[in-house]
Amino acid sequence: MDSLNELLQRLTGLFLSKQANRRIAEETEFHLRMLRDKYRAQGLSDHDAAIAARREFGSTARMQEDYRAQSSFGWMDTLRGDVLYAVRTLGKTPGITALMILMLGLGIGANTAIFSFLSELLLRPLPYRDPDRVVVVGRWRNGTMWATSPRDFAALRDKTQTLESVTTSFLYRGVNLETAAEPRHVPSIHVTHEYFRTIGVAPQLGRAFLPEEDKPGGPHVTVLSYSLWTDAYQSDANILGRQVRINGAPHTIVGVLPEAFSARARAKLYLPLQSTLRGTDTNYTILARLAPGATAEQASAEVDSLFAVVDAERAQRATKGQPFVRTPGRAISAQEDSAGEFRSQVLLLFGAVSVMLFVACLNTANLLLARSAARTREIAIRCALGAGRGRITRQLLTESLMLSVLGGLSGIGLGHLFITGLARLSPYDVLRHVSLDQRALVFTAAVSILVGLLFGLAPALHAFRLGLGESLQQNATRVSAGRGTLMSRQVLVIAQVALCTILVAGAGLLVRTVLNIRSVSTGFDTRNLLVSPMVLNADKLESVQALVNYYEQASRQMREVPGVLDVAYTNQLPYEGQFNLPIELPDTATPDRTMSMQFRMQSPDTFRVLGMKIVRGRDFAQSDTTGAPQIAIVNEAFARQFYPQGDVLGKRITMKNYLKVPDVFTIGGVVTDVREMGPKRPVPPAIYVVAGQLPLTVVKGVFSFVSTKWIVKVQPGVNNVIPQLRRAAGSLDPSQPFVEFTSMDTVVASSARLERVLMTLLAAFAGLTLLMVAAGIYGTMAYMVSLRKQEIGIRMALGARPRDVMAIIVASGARQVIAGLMIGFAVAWWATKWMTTFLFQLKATDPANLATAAAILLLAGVLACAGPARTALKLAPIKTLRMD
Amino acid sequence: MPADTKEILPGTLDLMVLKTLDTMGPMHGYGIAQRIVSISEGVLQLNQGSLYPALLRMEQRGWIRSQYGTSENNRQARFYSLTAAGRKRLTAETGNWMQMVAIMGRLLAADE
Repeated sequence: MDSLNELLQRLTGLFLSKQANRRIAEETEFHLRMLRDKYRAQGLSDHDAAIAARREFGSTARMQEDYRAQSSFGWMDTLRGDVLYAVRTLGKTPGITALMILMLGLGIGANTAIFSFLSELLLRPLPYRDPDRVVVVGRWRNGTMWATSPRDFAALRDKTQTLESVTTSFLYRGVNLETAAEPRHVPSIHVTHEYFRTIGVAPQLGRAFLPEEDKPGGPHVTVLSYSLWTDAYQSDANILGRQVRINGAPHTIVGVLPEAFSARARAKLYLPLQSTLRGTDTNYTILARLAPGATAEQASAEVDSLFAVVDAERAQRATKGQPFVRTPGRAISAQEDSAGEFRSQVLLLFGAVSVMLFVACLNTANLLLARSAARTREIAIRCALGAGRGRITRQLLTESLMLSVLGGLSGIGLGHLFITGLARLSPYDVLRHVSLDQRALVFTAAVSILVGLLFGLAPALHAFRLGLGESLQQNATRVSAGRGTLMSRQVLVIAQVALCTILVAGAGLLVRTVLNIRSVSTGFDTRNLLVSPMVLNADKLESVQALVNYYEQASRQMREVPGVLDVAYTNQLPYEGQFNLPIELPDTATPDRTMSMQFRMQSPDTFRVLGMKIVRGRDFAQSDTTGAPQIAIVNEAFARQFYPQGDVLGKRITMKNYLKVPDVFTIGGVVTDVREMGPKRPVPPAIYVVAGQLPLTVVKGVFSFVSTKWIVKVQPGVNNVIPQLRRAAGSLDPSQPFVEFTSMDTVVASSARLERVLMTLLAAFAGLTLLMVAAGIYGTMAYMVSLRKQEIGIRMALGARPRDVMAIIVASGARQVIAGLMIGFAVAWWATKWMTTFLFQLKATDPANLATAAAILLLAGVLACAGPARTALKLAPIKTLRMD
Repeated sequence: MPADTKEILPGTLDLMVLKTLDTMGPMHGYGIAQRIVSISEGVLQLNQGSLYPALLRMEQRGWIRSQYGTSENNRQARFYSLTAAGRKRLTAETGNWMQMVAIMGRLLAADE
């Protein structure tokens, strides 16, 4: 009851505080008057009586605080006061305040944005049911999962104990879908009937494929993604059972997938694989669901033992007496697989943004510290006027907290900006729906607030340690600072320079690595290239010559379009993924002779149009046609791996599997590697042949499975040829009027090689960090010089020439920077070693890099000395002397 | 000010004010302050300013009430007087204080 009463009174006190204040003021006035009367009566003069009365009455500030503390909600009152005071203080130095808020904002914003992207890309669960139970099964070589063959799949599916359900899918491809409006080129995938059961996704309409629909020669059926259903068929509820023409053949729609899954799947159209499961070409991805209780490790062991059986059979069938090198099987979590490829870049990116946040915090701390030194006297005065230590500490904390909060707010804003900006730049659709990650935001904001609190306290501690008298005096005698403080400030500068040297050196290494990677030749010339997928209705073909004639005719028509320089075609563009066929190398001395290898079929002039250089032997010629000796051209990786002696020309490649009678190709030339696995990964061996020299079965098989790509080289600056090209390419076959041209740059950019995007981001952050570090050095040095304004004034007053003074100031600044650089180098030498794995064509201790870092820091330091010194020199000496 | 002045023990200011008003009748703040200082013979160091927040608080708690009156030198002043609740509080607090003093006395007098 009593406490309730008190609470009520405090509440009314809160609202009546104005009245209470007035009353206290009234009472004080009366009390002082009485005291003055008393002292006057003792014979003091009016003036002395007033002083004596004040002294006896005691501190009014203390009184008000006592009052505030005990009456009403004191803390609310004080908080309001603190916030107002903080706003005023921060407002007094708008430049520095804005700088601090911006830096914190950058650190928080960039960190949060990057984390949001990464969590979307790598940490977000795959759109499967219980995604952590889904594994990718493959062959593990050189730290990468490689695709498997239908035989691998068959062995696994029939015998596995650890996997509940297994499925396999063929390469992604595109098909022509004829809809009412217009034919579309739709990304599609061939899957076994177990596919949807394995990933745990059921169609929202209709059903998945039946086992009998997955047999060779089975019925033509298809399942649509949600987006294709809504886009092409206006979400028609009666779509099931409808006949659609896919690549000219009628197919029945049996199901529509749910929206959530479709939004994140690459394929828009699903077809049953209908495989004999006897092939040995490694173009298939196996997905599986772990049986209850089984782990990925157990599955891995089982997969390897089952694949070993397949390999043993293959070794027996391989040329007698030849050893066979097998690649172990492995099962890894699908989630891990999708993230694993980029792990090192992701870690590096995390490192970069963390360093950036760290630098932002460091800079803020530095500015706060610098300001704290300037405020020592203010704090001392407030102490002298009766403010308690707790009170002052709270005030300072409020101030730095406000900074952190403002920094956090600007971080949210900047984070949003980063995200929208990156989403626009990024070639990946998934990134268009990224939003700021709440957890990351909370974390980074917490870090910055902590830093703010920590360094916000510094001025208070500094003042308290010095004691009132000393800190009050300090300014009066601060012509040149006391030895102790000067020393500690120099140490601060040196330490910061040292730290920055490490950061700048690290950032420099990253930037150089990214530049090196970007400068690595992709192996071909992407400029002024337009490409277009086209699906042939290969079933109609009667001979390979008919196919070649068809292509020749279309090429001729396209060449006639003004602005077109050259036209070629291939079954697989660089950066478009791999298409492997089983081959044998009868002439190699290496143990590995039978394998599945990248096999590309193209027009004779493809290398010329793509700008790929023949390094040895000859290019294809128009005379390499049906009936002429079969010629293959291999890439440098092939030559290195199988003919390390350099005697690759004239050796044979046997193409198996599709024919009873093997086709033998003779190697006629070596072409440059195309770095399509990313600049840091080894290039896999590849074989190129002319499409016209292949047997009809292969041509039918390949070109009906994988769409043909037109490659058109246009004159620079020509960009309006696409409609004409479409007309020219489509004129031959009215059943496929649809030809969509994109630039080769787009293909490269969207080749699912996140590496480039990540590395570019990395370089951007390293550059930004570098700028922030330079700004930090500048801030600290500039502040140091500003403290010496009075010294400059005295020197000037004593007759020093401005040039001499400038020299003194800059030299002392440079000394500190150089001392910092020395220490920094020593540490950087050791600290950047761990970065070696991330670097590309660059050593961690690269001298040019260290020299650049030194130059940047020295320049920032000297500029920072010279700028404020010049302003001080411009002031009249008398003014600087009277300052404070 | 004498070197051996004592700070007012926390919580005792209220008791002093209540007792002063009880003995002296209605008084203004200045009078209360002067009375405390003179009774302590200058040993107690009273921050006279802190008196007013205390008075305000005690009034808010209903132990004292205040009204305007005229001071001895003809100035308009606020006079404080004890309420019934204040008198009860004084009795209780005095009892507590005496008990505490007795305990402290016995404790400190004990030699063994």
